[in-house]
Amino acid sequence: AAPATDSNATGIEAEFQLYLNQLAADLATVESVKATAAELTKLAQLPLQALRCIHRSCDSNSISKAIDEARAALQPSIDLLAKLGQQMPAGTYYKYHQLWREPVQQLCMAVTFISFLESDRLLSLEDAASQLGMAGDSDGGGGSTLHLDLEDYLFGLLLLASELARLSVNAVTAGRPDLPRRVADFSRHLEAGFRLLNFKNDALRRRYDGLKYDMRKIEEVLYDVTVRKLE
Amino acid sequence: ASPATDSNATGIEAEFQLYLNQLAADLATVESVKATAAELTKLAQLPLQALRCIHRSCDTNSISKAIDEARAALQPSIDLLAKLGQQMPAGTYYKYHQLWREPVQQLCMAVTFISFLESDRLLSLEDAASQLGMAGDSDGGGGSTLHLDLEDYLFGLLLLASELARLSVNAVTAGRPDLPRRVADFARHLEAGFRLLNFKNDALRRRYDGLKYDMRKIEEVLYDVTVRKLE
Repeated sequence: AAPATDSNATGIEAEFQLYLNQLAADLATVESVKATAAELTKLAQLPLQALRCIHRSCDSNSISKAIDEARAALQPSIDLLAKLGQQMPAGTYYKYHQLWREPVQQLCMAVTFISFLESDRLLSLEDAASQLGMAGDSDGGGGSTLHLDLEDYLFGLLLLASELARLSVNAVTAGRPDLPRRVADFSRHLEAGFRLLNFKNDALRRRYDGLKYDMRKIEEVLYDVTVRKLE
Repeated sequence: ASPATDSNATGIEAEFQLYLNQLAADLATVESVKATAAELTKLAQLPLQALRCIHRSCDTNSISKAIDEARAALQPSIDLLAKLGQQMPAGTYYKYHQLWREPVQQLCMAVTFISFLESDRLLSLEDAASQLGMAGDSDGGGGSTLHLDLEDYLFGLLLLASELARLSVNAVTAGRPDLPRRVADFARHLEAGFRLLNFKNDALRRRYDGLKYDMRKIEEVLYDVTVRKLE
């Protein structure tokens, strides 16, 4: 009989007990991250709902009001993002990233939308991250502060483009024929920026493919407004 | 026209140039990691080839010789693993993990196989990691030293079980009717360990489902040897 058999039995069992604990801990982390991500997805709708009132009333006062409400509605999401950062062990950012990307993309859309409405400026990744309480450096993940992944930020910009295409249409309906030109100017710069990028064959690339349809709508609304001398 | 348009143009283009650089850097990392992983996959075959001679000649001398050759053949892989660790920015372990898991699993199989042949002992994760020049802590990834993921280690053990099932059969053929009992004792402890674990519904789980067939073969060979009083 093999000499190591007896110590093998208890030794192996003890080792595998450790492995069991580790697998269980990992599973627990997955579950808690999923739960937080689900809650974040719900909370992320609040600033977007506030902003979407603009599609119906977009006089200056209504826009200001919507921005204020959206800003206030961002805070619960920001708090939850901080909690999410605490739930994941150091260095495991990318291990769980897929579970919470979507609400982060929507929050990026919200803050960049606000930046457009306030000042026609494109909010940079660093500033967007800062507004959401996240770290800006996309090549990191060692600490417990979440960092804003470049691809999630870009996805948020593409969500914004679709939102602006819709706004163009509704702004005219709601009596703001000056907005389509502002949207068009902003979007053209955005599209020019995206055209500089090289994409992999992934979800971001497929979303980018939709940008041309948003641009087309934005330009057609501006055309309609121009030929009818509505501005 | 919106007041921010002019500065928007150059500002946005500059921002997107940054994003382009970052995406390009990420793509470059993926390509270099893939290339290293492909090379590692080839190098990882060398220790396994050395060990597999045992299926034909498994007298004590041949086994010693095979172990020595396998140990020497491990070094290139260990060196390449260190290089791989340098290629990935801190915290991105899990971002690229899928690209190089397979050769790591095979190297785990190699070192745990050696440990069985030498002393009938199960090499722990910490020791396996140490022999491969990797960090043992599976909840990390912040530094540039690769750590040995628990699931890759476990997958390596399951690869070992299949290898041992095959060895049982060939050992009898090659004139070592005492080996099946050693294999069976070791494998039983291994299986008992695995039975403690809870699995997710993934590749590791599916590989674990095959363990029972390896166990069956191991036990049947031992049965054959016993009833024919071959030991």
